[in-house]
Amino acid sequence: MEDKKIVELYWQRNETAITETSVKYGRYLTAISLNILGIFEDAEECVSDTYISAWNAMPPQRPNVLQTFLGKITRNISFNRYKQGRTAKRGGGEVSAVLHELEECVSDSKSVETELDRREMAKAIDDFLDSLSEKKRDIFVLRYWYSESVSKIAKRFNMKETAVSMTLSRLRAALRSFLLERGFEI
Amino acid sequence: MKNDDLFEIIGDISDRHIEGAKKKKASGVWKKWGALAACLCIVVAAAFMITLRVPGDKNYEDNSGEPDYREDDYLVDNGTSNFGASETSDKYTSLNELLEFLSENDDHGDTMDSNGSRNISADGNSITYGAKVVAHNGYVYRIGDGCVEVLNLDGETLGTIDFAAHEIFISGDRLALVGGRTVGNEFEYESYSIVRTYMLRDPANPEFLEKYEQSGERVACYMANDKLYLLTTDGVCACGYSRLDDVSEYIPTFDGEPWNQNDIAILGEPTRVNYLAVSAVEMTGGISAMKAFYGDIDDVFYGEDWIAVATRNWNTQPEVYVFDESFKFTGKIELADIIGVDKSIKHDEDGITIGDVISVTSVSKYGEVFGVLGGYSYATPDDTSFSGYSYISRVMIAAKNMETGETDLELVDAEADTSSIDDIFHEDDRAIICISTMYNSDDPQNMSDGNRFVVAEFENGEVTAHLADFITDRVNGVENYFTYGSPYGDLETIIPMEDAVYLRFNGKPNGFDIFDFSDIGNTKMIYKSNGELPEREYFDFTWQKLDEKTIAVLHIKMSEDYKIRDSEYSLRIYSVDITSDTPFTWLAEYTFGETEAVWVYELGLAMFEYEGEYYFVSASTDGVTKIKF
Repeated sequence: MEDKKIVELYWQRNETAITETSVKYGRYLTAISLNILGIFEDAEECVSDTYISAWNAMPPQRPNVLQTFLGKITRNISFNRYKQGRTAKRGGGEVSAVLHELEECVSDSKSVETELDRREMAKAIDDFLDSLSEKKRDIFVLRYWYSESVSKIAKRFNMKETAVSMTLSRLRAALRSFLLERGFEI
Repeated sequence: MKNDDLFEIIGDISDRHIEGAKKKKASGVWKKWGALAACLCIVVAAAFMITLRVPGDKNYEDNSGEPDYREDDYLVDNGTSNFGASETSDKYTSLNELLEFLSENDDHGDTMDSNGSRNISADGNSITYGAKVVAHNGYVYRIGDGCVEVLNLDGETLGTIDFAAHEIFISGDRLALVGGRTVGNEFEYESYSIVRTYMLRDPANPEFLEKYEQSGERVACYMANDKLYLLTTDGVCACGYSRLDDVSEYIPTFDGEPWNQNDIAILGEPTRVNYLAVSAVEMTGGISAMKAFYGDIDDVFYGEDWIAVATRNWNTQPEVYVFDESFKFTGKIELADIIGVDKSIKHDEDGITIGDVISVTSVSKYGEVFGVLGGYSYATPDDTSFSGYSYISRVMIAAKNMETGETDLELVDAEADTSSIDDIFHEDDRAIICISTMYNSDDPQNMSDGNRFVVAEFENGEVTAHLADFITDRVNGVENYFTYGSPYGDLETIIPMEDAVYLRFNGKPNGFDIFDFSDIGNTKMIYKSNGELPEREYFDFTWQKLDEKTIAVLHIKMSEDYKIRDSEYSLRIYSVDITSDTPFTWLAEYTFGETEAVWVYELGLAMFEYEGEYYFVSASTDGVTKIKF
């Protein structure tokens, strides 16, 4: 079913929307969650929670790109689940390594305080990504948005793992400079 | 700033970057996710099956240990099934022509759904589906962990077949196991479906006969007339993109050999590479027919002696291509012509479909005619409407006699703001269609929904249809829990209990409604469940008819946090007396342990009759249990 129809089903409060979403994007969302959590059952539950969130969000929202709309919800839910599990020392997929890498970009000082600050920084990261070559941009997004493993990224781009790790390291350094130059306190 | 914050902020980057990373060099990945998702949505209902084995279980290799079996005697007799590509396409006379054209002109989904997957689904009538557990002459064959176990009715395990099957079939004294293997890695891999047949001269010791392997993701598998039909697909991803790095890859293989070019049918003018390969495995040995359909395939439907492939794309109304049991082309059902509307689909500047839209939900054979059930709607922009559009929607019941070419049509107004088909029960010459309806759809605060029935009869090629007077409640299910396994309001199958009397499992979260469809002009609801339970977290998951007076229900008590893995499962047996004010009497209950329950949920539960006694076997619980009531 095409996305616009699925969104329309949400707006009609037709529960078939959930089924159609599950059929079309269930695996995609599970993959995102599984990368973060590393436990299939937990990922499955996060995907279920994604459907609930989508149901609650539409209406009023009418996403332009349903797939990434859902993907972002799953990523958020899964990361929140990860943070809870981290306290209990449970689970954790590739995201532990991803977070460890991202520590290089931040100084562990104060948190970003307002939603506006966050949006501004997300926009700046978009600008940063626009400044990259297509390949580097994709490597960055696959690692830090999709939390995909270095080995998978290496296979995907037919690169050696060490080359991917090196690319990511340089990208992190470049991102840190990019954000600092634009006045962000990181 | 902490790394957690940065990770979360990266989550808000632009959709175009997220999508971009996904699409580059990754078509294979998302294709596979989508195809697997499509596989997951196919419900095999013969047994009391709950869900399919998850594809992520890394069942990558056929671990049978048997050498690949291949003999030339399976080769199809071209005299009976060689019909070539051109019969179903005005534009192409061979697959090479099509692939050559698409290698330069494939639109990668731009004129299909914006992000659309091609979820080929299956619907069947008068056929047998595979099961997780089947019984034969006092023996039970059930899918275990990487193997198929053979048990007797005392529950003793007599032996195992070392093959990770997904479905089991029995036909006469033959056993067929259907599984698959995947080679490659998570990003780039190829899937194959495998059929293994066995002789059951001694049911306790199945003798291996033959093995076949067909490329592609398994769409469906069914048994009819002692033939096992295997349907597989490849070519298009979940996000609507073709894998076109090398078009030559998109020729299906059977036992490693490319498909015979003469056994290919091109359906109209495909916009992308997408094939549906079908082979008929004779349970007595050999292959009787093979066909690979290329087209913008939306759905496949099949019955005892026919198969119908429905095509659709972003710009064109659906068409249905019908083939006989040997996959000989018998004709095309052009729904736009039958309804009398334009064959092209129009869209507004935002890509929203406007004007006439036809959808196909089901195709079945009713006597001499093929019936196509679906929807017809007409959408026009309307600024005063909440959704921005005004819709006219009708339930479509079209019929075509493939021999005479005569057609007939009924468009039924479900008397609601919007309507869509939930469930269909097919009979010899009629279909009972359950429709989901929406009221006050322009007013979010006062929206309501319900269900109505349309009963359609196909007599001498003519269609008559009646809308039932009553409206049943639409249901909400278990609050805050939407995953599969929870009844969030869908209706379950309508099953005949007695002549012309049907039960519908309404999942509200519990309850069965009873209907009398004996007079299609005056259908009645005999009993309406109140659907209320003392505690909402209990619900009936699925059910099976044991006989005309008895049903068995898989009952689930949700855990406090609504997590399915910690829930408790039990099998409840009820007697049914349709003449009583309280038709359902609870006879017996069998409770599963927590660990077993998880496995029951994942792998299935089967009930069967043997010499007048009923038994149930779960796919992981030890033993075989005789049902006492």
